Amino acid sequence: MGKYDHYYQILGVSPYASDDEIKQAYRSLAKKYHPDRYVNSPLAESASEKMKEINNAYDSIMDMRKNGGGAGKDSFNYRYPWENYSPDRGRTQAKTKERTKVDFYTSYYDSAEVDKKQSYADARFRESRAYIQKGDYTNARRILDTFLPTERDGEWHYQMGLISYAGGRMEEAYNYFSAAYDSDPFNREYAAMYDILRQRRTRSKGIFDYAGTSDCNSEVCREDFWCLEACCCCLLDIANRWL
Amino acid sequence: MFGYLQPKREDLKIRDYRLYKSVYCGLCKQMKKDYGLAATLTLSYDCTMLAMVYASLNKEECIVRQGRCTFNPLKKCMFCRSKEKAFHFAGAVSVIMAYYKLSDTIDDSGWGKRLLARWGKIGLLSGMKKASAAYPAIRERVCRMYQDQQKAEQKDDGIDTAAEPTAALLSDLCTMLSNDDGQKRILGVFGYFLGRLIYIKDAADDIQKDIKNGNYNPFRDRYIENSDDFRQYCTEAINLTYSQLVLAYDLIELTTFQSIIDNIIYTADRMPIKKHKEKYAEYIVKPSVKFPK
Repeated sequence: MGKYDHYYQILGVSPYASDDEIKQAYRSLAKKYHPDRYVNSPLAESASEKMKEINNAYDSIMDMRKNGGGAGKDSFNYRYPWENYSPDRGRTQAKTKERTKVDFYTSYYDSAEVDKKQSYADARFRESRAYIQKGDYTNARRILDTFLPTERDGEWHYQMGLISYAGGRMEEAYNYFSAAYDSDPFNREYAAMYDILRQRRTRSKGIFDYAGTSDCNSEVCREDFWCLEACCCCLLDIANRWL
Repeated sequence: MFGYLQPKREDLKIRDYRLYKSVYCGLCKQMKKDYGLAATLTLSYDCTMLAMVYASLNKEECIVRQGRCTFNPLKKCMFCRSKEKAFHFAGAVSVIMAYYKLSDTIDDSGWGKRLLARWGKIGLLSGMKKASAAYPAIRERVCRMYQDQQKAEQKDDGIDTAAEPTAALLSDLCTMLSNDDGQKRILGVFGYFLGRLIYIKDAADDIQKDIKNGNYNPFRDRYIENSDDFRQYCTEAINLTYSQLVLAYDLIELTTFQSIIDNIIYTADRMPIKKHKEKYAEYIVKPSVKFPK
């Protein structure tokens, strides 16, 4: 199997697909593994690896196609003379394109950036935040437990929410984030996390859009065929034969 | 496990549906061979899915062959058989889970059910012994889960704590499915939310029964009879868990049976919470609106 076959496989398209088809496949995959979807999730790392893989595959295929098939590789490469007119031109174009793409797909909930600007009311918050970013949730929890009930402000609720979220305790996390949001609605970070969870709870935004066939219009889809199946497929088998 | 993880048959292709049936029947046959006839009665859709995920992750080759059904010898069925461990593993999980479920029933049910459960346990004993000899880790883990569940119920600290034992059990079971470290981490998260989803759905479905019998249910405090608010709350809790499940599932690298497992996971949320048995004498097919690209 050649190198490019592997790239095509990653994007899930055939080597004979048109550029548009490849672009479409890339878009839907990029949406699927987008860092915003996995923000603050324990799987964020795996998702970003996958994203890199897809980006790499897409770039390689597009470069190869632009340069007329396997440019710079071991295959014979013919260029029209006028293409050699300015050798840097094609490359710079490719580079700028790549940059816009990366800009478009980088996360806008970049927590590190916010972190620098923010000065915490309490010094303990910085410490616990560092633990959370490292993934050491027990230590972060230990620090947060030292806060008295009167000291528990938005930041405290937010950090507790992050810990619950990473541990999969979703109801708790939702309550913490909504408390953080209530105490400080103008904080971008709190609002972002609260929004994400609220959208997922009420399914108000298209987080599920690419998940399966959700465009089923008829109500009958909700009907259970469970009882039919329970008698060991016999009935369905008969039906199959009649059809 | 409670039989929640089945595909939506309307959405499957016919060939996928036939394959799914052959896996189901194949698992039944394999369980009869490995753990005895009584063990086949514990067969469930959840374990069918487990077998498929195992085979898919470990790139096992499967053979589909025609044979005769054990329970109805007049019928010819297709049977799927893996060359390696997938069906053996899923069968062991099924038998062990069923055995401990029966032990649990003996602890907290009326005398009629208790008697039946005793008989069931005796029937399953030999299969259970074989299964736990092959996979001692599973038995230990399931045993611990029931202890944890009791502790969690005594603690009575919201839905998260109540769902934790089931979720942790499935998390560990799913981790056993693959040997790859990266995949193991993802499978751990996947299993966690799968267990959580099953637990919450089961709790929401059983609430009326539990309140009538005085059993524990994490939604007990919020329950109001025939209230849409309560249903809304349960649906939201399920949605949130389901969204995390999909996030983890998207990262798993499956090789075979992908369309069937996709179907099971992506429609897992569509199974409505029980209100009353709705039978559709007629239904409306709405024309879909297509937006221009």
